[in-house]
Amino acid sequence: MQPDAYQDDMARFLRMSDEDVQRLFRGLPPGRDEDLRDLADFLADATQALSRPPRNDVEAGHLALIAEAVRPPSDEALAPTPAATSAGTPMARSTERRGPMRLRTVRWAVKVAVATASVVLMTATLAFAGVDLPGTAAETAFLKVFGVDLPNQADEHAGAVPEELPEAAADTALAVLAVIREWRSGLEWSGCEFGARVSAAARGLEGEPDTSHCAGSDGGGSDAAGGSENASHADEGLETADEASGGAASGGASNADDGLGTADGASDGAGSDGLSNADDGLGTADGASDGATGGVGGP
Amino acid sequence: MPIGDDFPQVLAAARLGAEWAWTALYRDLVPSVRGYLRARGAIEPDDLLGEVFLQLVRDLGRFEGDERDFRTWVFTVVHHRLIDDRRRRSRRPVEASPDEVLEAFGELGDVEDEAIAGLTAARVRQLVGRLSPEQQDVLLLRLFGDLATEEVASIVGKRPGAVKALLRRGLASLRREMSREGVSI
Repeated sequence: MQPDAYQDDMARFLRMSDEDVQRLFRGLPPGRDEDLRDLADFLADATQALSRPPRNDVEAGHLALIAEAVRPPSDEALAPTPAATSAGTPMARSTERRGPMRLRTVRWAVKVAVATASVVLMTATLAFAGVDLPGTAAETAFLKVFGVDLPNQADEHAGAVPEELPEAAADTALAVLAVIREWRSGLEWSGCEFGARVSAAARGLEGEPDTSHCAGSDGGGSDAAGGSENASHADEGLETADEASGGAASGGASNADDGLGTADGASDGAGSDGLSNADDGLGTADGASDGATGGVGGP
Repeated sequence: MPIGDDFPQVLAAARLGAEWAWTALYRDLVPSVRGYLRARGAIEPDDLLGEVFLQLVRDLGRFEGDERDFRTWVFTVVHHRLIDDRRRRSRRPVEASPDEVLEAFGELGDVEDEAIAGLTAARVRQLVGRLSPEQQDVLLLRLFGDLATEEVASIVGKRPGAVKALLRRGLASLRREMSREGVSI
């Protein structure tokens, strides 16, 4: 075939319809193109010559291999007729699908387990590396689940009341600390009584403070300790504190130098959150007020 | 010859592992599959044939569809097995006898008929072997698999338009080779 003829032939084949191509593959010349009969014959003969089954022994070998591969654990469900087997189709499909589903579930479980282990390991690694983990959730989880206390963590909540104050601490600070310790030991003081005792200690008064006026405010104190924001009780507490501090607390000025300063000193020295009354400028008065409003929780 | 209306029942039985169903599928598919393997020049087509059917047995659970889909699926497996076999052999070349030679020593029916068939097969392979591998793929899948353009496209991973063009170029090239050789089978 000349190159030009080949180009023409190529163009003819590229223009050929799907139906004509289909005819060629069936061994028929397309349309009126009788000159393509040789190609059609070639395709038909090729199919016939090559599409032959293997020798009988080869076929027997293949079928034996297939039979071995398909043999189920029990042969009971197998019937040699299509009618008998068609009824079992749904069951067969559900069995076939259960396997992959189970496998998927196991894969997911393994993934979740690995992810959890990774998080725990990462947290522990950060803790050992000295990173202060935020909050106490991780620490608590480790402690409760694994019984492991994470190392290198900031101890935020321990020691609300220090064991000892610095030597430079004032006597009044020591006295205030003693009152706090006494209160934390479990004595059932009302908020008013506690405030009065702190106030007296801060002012350096010796002996039992006068708490006679607290008799009427017991209910208020206990209500407040229960979370009540009863205004009258708070006022009552404030009055009591005023009284206990000799008016310095409500005036604020002298107490700032004296009682407040002392209370601040006690607070700083103690580093105690529990003494918010000493920190927030109201000094002993606030101690009484907070006591009355529940600002200071029970021990 | 397609199984036809009985195909769903045969397939269902094959899923259950019924040997008679597998025998029916094997006998229906083997001539065309073997023809494709031989035309593509598989060194040991019968060994490949056995591997193909074992894979079909293993993977039948994943198949869903009718008889046409099944045929396409089978030829997909055959096509990939052939590619794997070629790669394997390129790494570890093995000298093998052409299957026509082997068949000459096996049980044969009409000797003259078999001899002619063997010669024809050899010439077909000689001519088709001159086409590009892609042209061989689409032309022989179409010829032996009796597959539509879209089905061939899904097997070889090309667009139907590209398969159509390859098919037509393959036919034109085949005709040119026939003219050069003066082939008349």
